[in-house]
Amino acid sequence: MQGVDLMNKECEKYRELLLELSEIDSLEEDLLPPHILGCDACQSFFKELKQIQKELVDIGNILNKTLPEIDIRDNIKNGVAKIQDGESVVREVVESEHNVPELAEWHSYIENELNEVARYKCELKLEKSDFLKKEIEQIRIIHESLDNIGKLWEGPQLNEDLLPLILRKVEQYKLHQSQSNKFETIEEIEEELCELSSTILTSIKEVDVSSQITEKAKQSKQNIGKREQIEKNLTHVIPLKQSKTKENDIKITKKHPFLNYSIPIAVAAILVFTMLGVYIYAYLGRADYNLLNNKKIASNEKSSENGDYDATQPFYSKAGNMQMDKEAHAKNNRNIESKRGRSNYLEGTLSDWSKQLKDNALANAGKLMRIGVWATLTPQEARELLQKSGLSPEAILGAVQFLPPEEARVVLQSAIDTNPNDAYLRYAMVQTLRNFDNVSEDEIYSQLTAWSDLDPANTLPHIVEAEMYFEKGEMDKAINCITDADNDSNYDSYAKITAKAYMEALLAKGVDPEIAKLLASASAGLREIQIIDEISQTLMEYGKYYEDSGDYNMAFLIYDTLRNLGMKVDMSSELIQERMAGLKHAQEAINAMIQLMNSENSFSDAQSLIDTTQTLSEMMTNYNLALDDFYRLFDTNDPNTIAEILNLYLTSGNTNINVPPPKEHK
Amino acid sequence: MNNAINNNMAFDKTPHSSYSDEALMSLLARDEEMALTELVQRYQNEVFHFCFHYLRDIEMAKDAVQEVFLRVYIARERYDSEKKFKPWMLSIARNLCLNELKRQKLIHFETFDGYVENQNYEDKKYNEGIEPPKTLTPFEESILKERQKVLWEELNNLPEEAREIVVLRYFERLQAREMAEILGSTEGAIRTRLHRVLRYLKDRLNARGGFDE
Repeated sequence: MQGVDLMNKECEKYRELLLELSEIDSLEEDLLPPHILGCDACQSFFKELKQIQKELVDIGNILNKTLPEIDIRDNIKNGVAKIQDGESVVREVVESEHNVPELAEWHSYIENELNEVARYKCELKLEKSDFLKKEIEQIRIIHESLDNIGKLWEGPQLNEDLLPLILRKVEQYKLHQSQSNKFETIEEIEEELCELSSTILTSIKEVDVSSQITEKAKQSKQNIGKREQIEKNLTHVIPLKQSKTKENDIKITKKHPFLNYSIPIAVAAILVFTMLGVYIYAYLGRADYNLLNNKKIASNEKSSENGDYDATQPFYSKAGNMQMDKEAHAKNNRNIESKRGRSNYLEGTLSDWSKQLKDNALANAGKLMRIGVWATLTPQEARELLQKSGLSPEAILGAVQFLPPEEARVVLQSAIDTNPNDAYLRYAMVQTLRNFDNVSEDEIYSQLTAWSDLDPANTLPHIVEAEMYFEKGEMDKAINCITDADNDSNYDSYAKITAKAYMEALLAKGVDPEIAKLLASASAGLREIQIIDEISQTLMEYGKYYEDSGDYNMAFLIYDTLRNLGMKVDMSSELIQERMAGLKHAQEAINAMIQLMNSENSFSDAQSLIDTTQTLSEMMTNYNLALDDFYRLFDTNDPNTIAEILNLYLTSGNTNINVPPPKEHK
Repeated sequence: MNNAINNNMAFDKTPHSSYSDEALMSLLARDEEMALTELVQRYQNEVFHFCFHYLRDIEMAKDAVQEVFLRVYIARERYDSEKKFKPWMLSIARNLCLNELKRQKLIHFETFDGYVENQNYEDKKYNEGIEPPKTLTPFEESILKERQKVLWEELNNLPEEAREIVVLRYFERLQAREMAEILGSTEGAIRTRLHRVLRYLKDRLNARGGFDE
């Protein structure tokens, strides 16, 4: 720049000031600092600066006019689009911003971390530039100062050993982890135990109403309602579940598939022994009672002459008398067999008990867990089973019993689409839909209607529908359904089909055939009993409701419906447990009706009911006597005693899983 | 102050004491809890100091130490034995401290006043701690101390990221490679950042006449 002479320090400052001014071309001379006006050099500098700025502006204007317009917006858009589409990749520029090799190298030099060659190169650079040398030297001083400061710095001291606290935290963590894993792995088991607990307890404990029940059964049967009984018995099973869900009311029936046969250890044993004793007839005709005296374990030899099944009367038909005339029994059984018009529920022989099953049942309660394992399918096993080809329809139905409601619904719907006239499928679908929290009313009533149409004489669809209306508070509709139910002559819960389906599923799973038959028969009717119990409770509650409201006619109607239902169950069912449940509820209804009549002073009508009640009581007594021997198992842990009782039914080696023909009664 | 935990001599000379940190982590992955004990005894002091830089509270720093080793235990199976243990552990500690600070909405790396106070900056002890070269004259010694005093003050004005890197290098005595692992950066970037910080401090000292002679 011409005209720039030697400037003193003062001029340098004003020069910098002029350089900082952006509007210098429009800056009036009057506004300049006095020094510039008085200093020839500065004034000259100012003028020349102004000239340069003007010339730069002119050049800029020329360039703007002469250079073609370049619109790169499209290029930018295309570039961005390519990046967004992934055609081109943008590398991170972090390194270029944060990693300047030259600066990093100088820092390494300061830290004395360079090798000899690199260090020599740096020192050469320093020799060539005094400015750089001075700068690096000052930075080194800063570095050393900070280094000294850091060395001398004493922070607060850790005045305690944190190791115990750390180890404690680790232990707590491990404990929490193990509990979390346990929760995940056993939660399903707990849910299944809840379900089965309620099912088994209602079926076993509710049946035991006779005065001749064992002491143990008496202690467990208190004057509390069914639901309270369930909840009371469930508390020891589901403490963790309740603590997690924080719910007091557990809707067991709505939570699980309508049939779930997970059997807890102890209940499995009780079930097997109980149902064996009830269903075995053949033994009674040919049992060798001398064996009872000898207390020998049953042999595997068939005692039957021809190996075929011979029907016998139940041993409990001779109450308290175990010494029966063999010939009389055989004759009686043949008569019964000839009169029997319907097919047997399940036939088969258990001619060869597996030694392992006996040892497990008799010797070690822990081994009974295997029965529970055998008796169930996990949802995954059920799914895998359904994917197999060549599966029988019964096995499919059996596998569906172990699926979650959502999946069961899908399978059943598919089955219904293929077999729209199958009443059992409709029944199964209704039971499945009732386990959903949110289901279309239209859908469930549609299935109910179809079920009723396909099985017109069956009272159960009407009773189920009535129960649903009661739950919703639609009394009128519920009463209409009750009226329809009274007109039906039959009761069928399809327990046979369900049990057979269950057996087929077990067989498909690979369970031993004999064991599958045993397990299926042992658990047959349990779910159906629960249905009856629920219906009964609902009807009793609403009967009581109307009674308390003063509407005795309606209350009487409801009680009578329950009585009829109970009688129909007894007359129609082929499963003794189901029949006993029916009789029990019929008795409850009659008691309620008697009480109602007494309150209305209708003694004449009450008398007939009382007579009916007495008959029912006799029947209940007979049934309960039949089971009383099995209840002795509850009282003993002696394997020999268990063997003795079991021996009564296994000596012959032949068993018939069947039901005595219904007896005619009032 | 006597330190109850002396890493150089207090713990038992168990076989684990001769294992490398990485070997101990391998043992810990196989649920050998003595390995954790050894690691705690080796590093609890260091981790405490490290966490204290961030949290500026002794009790919080103690809690952080416990949490750091718990996380080390939890992550024992994920630890890559190819990497150095100490930077990995300190990166856990750093993340934990930063999260805690965010949770409490504290500004980490507050001014170095706390450091000054801890060091009894005005105390004779601090001044005596500095060992100037014996070749310096008393006047030069006073210049040096004045420069360090100014330096302390300028450290307070550093941005948070710059303060963090100064603390890690000069107070925690970490190497650039270790700092890179802890901060999730590269060694070159760490050195560049350090050089820029030093250059900044140099300019500040120049502006304040710190290098005037």
